[in-house]
Amino acid sequence: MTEVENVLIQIARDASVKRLESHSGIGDLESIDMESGYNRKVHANWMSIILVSGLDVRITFKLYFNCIDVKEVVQKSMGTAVDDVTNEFTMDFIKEFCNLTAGMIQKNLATQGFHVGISLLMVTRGFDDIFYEPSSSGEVSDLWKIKIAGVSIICSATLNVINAKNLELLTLNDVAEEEDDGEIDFL
Amino acid sequence: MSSHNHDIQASHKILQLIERSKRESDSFLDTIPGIFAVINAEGDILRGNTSLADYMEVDQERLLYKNLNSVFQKEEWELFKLEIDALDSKEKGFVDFELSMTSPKGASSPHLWYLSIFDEEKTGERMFTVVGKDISDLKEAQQNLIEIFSSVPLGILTIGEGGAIQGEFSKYLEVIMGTNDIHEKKIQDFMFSEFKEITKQNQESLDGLVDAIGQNKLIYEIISEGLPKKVKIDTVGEVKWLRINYQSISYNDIVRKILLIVEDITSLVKAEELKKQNSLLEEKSVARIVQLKKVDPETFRLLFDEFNELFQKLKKAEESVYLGGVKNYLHGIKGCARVAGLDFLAELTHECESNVKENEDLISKNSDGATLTNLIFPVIEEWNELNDLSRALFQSSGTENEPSGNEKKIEDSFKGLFDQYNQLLVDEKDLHVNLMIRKVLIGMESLTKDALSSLEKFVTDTVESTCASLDKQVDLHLDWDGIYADRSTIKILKDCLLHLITNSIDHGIETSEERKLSGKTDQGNIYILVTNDISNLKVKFWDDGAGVNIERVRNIAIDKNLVTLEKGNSLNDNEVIQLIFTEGLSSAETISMTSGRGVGLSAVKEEIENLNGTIFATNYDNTLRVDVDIPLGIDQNEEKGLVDYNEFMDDFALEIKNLNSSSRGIDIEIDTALQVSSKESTFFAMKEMLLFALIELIDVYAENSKETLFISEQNSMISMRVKVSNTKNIEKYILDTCSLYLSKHSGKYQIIDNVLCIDFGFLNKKVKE
Repeated sequence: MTEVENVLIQIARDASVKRLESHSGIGDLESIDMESGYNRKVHANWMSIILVSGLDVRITFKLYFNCIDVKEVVQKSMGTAVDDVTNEFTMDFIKEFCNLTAGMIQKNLATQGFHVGISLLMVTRGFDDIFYEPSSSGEVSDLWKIKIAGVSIICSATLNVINAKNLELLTLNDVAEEEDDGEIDFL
Repeated sequence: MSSHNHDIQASHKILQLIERSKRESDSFLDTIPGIFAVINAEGDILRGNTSLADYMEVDQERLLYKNLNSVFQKEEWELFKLEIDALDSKEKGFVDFELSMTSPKGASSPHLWYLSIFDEEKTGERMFTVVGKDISDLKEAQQNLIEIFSSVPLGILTIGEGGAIQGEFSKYLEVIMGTNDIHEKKIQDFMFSEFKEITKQNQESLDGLVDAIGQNKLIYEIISEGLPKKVKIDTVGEVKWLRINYQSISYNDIVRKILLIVEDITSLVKAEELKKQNSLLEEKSVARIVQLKKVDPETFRLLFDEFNELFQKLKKAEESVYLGGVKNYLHGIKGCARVAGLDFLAELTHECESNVKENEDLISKNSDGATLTNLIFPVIEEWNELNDLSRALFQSSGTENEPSGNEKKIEDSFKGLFDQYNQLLVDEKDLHVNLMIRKVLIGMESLTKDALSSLEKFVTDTVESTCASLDKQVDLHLDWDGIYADRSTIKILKDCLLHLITNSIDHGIETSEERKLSGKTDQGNIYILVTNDISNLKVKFWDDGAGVNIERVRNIAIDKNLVTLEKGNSLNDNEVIQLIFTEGLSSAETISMTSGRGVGLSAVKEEIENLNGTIFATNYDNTLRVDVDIPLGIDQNEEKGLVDYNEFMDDFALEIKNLNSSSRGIDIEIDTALQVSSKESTFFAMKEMLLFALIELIDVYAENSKETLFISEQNSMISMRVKVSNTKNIEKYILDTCSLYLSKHSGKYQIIDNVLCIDFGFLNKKVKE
């Protein structure tokens, strides 16, 4: 993994953690690497997928989750009973989280002069991930886990660096929450 | 909103639709009945539906990376993995098999599995689609069906293409066919080849039956008409009868399989055969009873002992493999049967005779007693049946020599009375009382006597039946009116006449054609004359047949070793003729349907000689004549009645005198020749009885007139003529009082123009020196 790719991965990781924390309102969370030797093809029952794409880079951000687990987070976030948290509500929670994460990545890159757009979000079965084919041989992926409220949400970022030279000056730019104006530019 | 945003919204909408569609599709997979899963090569569940989750008792989202082996026993999982491994070799790309799943609680349920390879090219990893269907209900239904199959005593099977036995078959089929090697067998070899005695049409239909599978059902319908429905098979050495029902199983009018339902009806067939046999036996028994019923009981009783004797001799001859004896006795049995009217026995014996003759050489050479026994067995068996039946039918009569119970009582009573009256007779001196006692005794005695005319039906029937069997015509002439004899004598006479008649018709009297050629009348004639004197019953029997062929009888007797050659050649004609009374002599040289009896006449001769009687045959005027004398025995009354002739006439004259002087006004004249008769001293039998009879006759029945009562004596016979007024009463009187006397002494009477003429017959009895 190149330096640029490393930075990009860090940006994605950072965004996922910060957004989940702010979205859930649960401060006690951490991002950890997957276990050594982890080689599963299907990471969870559900998968949320969103694309952040510009002239120089494409980032596919995926969230892998089980509703049954996310309900714990939602319940804690909302302060309601677990039984009151429906699958639909859980799905919405994740979708929002995914969107926010993609937005933060976009913001981060934008502040460093790299303009990217965000695709529409789609939630599908985690099993469908086995049909994913890399678009090019230069793709790089990272898989991490966010542990929150005793459950884990697996995230992945797949990078396709189109113009690495342009991105040489890219750094992990710590985007403050308040700088996030909530607007999202769609692709 | 900018167009860019519109595009975004539109795309968002599309995405939502796609998402929903995807969700529905996933939901469809999730909720399909049965188990659905996608697993990797290790068995980890990558995708599973709600059924699987329910079976594993986990939330569906928790299925991910659970191993499918958790729902199998260890051994079953090994089999499952083998099926996975075998997928590569399967051309069709999938496998299906049965294997039980085990729930976390340990409940096992049979499942039908369907495994296929999941799009390895796209996924880059070896994964498999697993579909499982709980077939517990099906298995239960199958088990129930098997239980039904096992319990129902029918062989149920289906045959498919090529005639192979397919699928399940009833357990009982193994019992029927005597083997458990059934599955996938070709029906032609397994069952059809075992069918015995089937028609050509049946065989052709069976050949076409297998070919009908896969064809239009019309072809089957045509073939099925000729299929055997009831067949005999021989399996493991046991003969069985089967009833078979055939049914086609068709789809879209094409026969896919044929169902056979096989029922073992051996016991039913055997029961039917037994019933048929019993019916035949019953028919035979009925036929026997009908025959026996037709037989004159007296005839049968007469022949009964002879049958028994013949059969005993037959059995002895059979045991010693004495062929000559066997043939003779069979011949005799046939004759008796023919006379008795036992046609079936006669035919059976004739058939037996033929069989013995056919196998004569074999039996003689090998002293083959077993063959001989088998040959004559049917005759013996038939006689045993007849014997038993006859005892039942003729039971009340007892044997011919012993009267029935009632008759015995009567005879015993009579004897008691007889003895009493005889004692009175001795003690009573008064003439009239004495006469009355004698009258009573005579009356009693008459009850134990029978007229010989009582044999008329018997001899007539004998002539008729013998003629019928021999196709001859014979007239019978009887002269025995007024002759009486006691029953034992009549029995002997009956026996004697039976054999004389049958021998006469069989061997003496010619056929109509032969008689015509000889210038004789078509019909033959048999004459029987019976007379008696004081002491003997005399029977004269003759016919107008061909007589006895002296040389033929001589030769037969020599051939049969009844006499030596030297002795045979030395006999004169009369001596040769007497040989007809020798046991074993039969003139029948060939076995035919005529009766030739070699034992009858000899037995008769024996009986007569046992009574000190005689039987003598002569060729009289080229016809056979047989004279038989049967002693009657000395009557006690006669003993007591023996008086001197002259004394009698003195007494008689005295009585007449008393009558003449009585108020009756009868003038009786006695032939003076009587009075002066000076015969040598002779004895009258029953003088008092005769006197009484005469006096009473005159006293009661003579007309009151001066008609002369003429009594004369000629050739030792006394006759009397008296005019009587009431002829009817006269006849009755004579029958009541004089008939016995007249019969014993060859007396007779007649009434002409109201004049009674009585011939008192032989009055003399020579004194025994």
